[in-house]
Amino acid sequence: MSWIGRGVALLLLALATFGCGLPSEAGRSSGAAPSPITTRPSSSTAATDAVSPSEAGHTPSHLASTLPAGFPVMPGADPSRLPDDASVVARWTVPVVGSAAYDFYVKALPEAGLTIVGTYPSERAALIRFRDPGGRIWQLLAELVGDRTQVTVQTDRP
Amino acid sequence: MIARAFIGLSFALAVWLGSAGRALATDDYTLPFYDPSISLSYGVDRDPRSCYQRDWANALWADCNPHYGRVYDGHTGMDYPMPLLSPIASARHGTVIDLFEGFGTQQFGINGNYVLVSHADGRRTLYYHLAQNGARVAVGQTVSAGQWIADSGCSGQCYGAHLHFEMRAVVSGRWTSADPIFEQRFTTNPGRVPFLASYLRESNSGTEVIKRYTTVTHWVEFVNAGGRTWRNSINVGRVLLGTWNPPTRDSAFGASDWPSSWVATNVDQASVPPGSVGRFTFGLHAESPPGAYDESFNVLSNSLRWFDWSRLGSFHVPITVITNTRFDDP
Repeated sequence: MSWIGRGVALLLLALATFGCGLPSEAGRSSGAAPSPITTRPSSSTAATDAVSPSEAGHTPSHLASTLPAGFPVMPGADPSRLPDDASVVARWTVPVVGSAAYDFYVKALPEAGLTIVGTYPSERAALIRFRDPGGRIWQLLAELVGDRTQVTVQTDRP
Repeated sequence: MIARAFIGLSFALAVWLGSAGRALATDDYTLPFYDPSISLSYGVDRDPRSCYQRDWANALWADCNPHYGRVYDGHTGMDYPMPLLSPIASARHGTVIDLFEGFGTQQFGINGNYVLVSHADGRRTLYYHLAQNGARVAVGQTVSAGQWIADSGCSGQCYGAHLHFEMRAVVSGRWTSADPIFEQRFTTNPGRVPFLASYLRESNSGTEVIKRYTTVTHWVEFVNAGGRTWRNSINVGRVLLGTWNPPTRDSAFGASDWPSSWVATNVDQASVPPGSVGRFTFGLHAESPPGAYDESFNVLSNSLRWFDWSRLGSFHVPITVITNTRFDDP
């Protein structure tokens, strides 16, 4: 799937997840710690009250099939274009800056059953390596883009 | 003979060339924190070109992506993840020449809180992203290697709580970031935290039985597992054995060889480099009535920083005082 296709899938997921009565986080302060909204990879494994892509009338999207099961998406996420990089599976921005996204995921990933295997904070970006229940290693990169934080999920690389 | 001399000269030249730009690891700098479990998040990018990254091992990446545990593009220091308000140590003896601590501990922005220390070798070390009011030193203050100088935070341009430690040196008349790992500026390689020890053995690992009004001699040995040399002179970074639980408690077993009521002894040797064994010998004098007692001790550096007691085997000396029939009433 091209980045456009994946971007559309992400947009659909975002609309399905956040467009159904959930409050916008646009006004949240940068230091706030929003609670997670959990994605579901398919209707067969759905176990939360969040609206899944399949429930929104779409075939489980590329995003849902590639992100680890139960991956938490921060409230207020807006999808972004995916780069021409096959290792990148999802990208969005959230209306926070600084450590908020990093702090959110350090807490939310383990709660979602995803094991953190390394945290790498810095001035430019924060990277979290985590393992899904199947043993696959992923990377989450949170970095400043404009006045928001861009979150990228990608397969592991050195 | 000439051929052998030529080979030897060639080898020496090769060694010299190979070490060019590097400093010999001496009692120079140490890691600027105390927790030995902390590991590097990103190091210095030694390639000035945009989207070219060269780490301390000369590994090169021709991309703009961060490479965890190694380097990210344009990075001028070393990032060490640590919880907020972790203690930060001076990497070397020096003088505080600047600091700022007005940002919030987790306030994001261009600037952040920092302490800047100048060292006798002409270099400077910068400790960045500190907590609000996190400096434990003042401008103009002299600090010792390993001294607790600040508390960590995530102020300024910060994604995730960490310390940005940066070494600067004047190169061609300009302040330039240096790479302490590549230059082997740390006392040990890989670098170690300044003060750490592990228990090795002692003269009597059981109970010291002391006849009342008499003194026994006890010694304990610890391995210097940190990055600083231990010394027994107060002028150059004394390491001593003091009472513990609570610290600096007046001991009921202090002997005449104790420097003070809570200091059992300085380290015996004049110098204990990293990796070597330091011995602490002290007397235990019993004035207390017959009975069972327990004295805990910990190691203190520079009168500033206690060691991790658990790594010292929670060092303590069980003592049983017995009746001295010569002086005690039957």
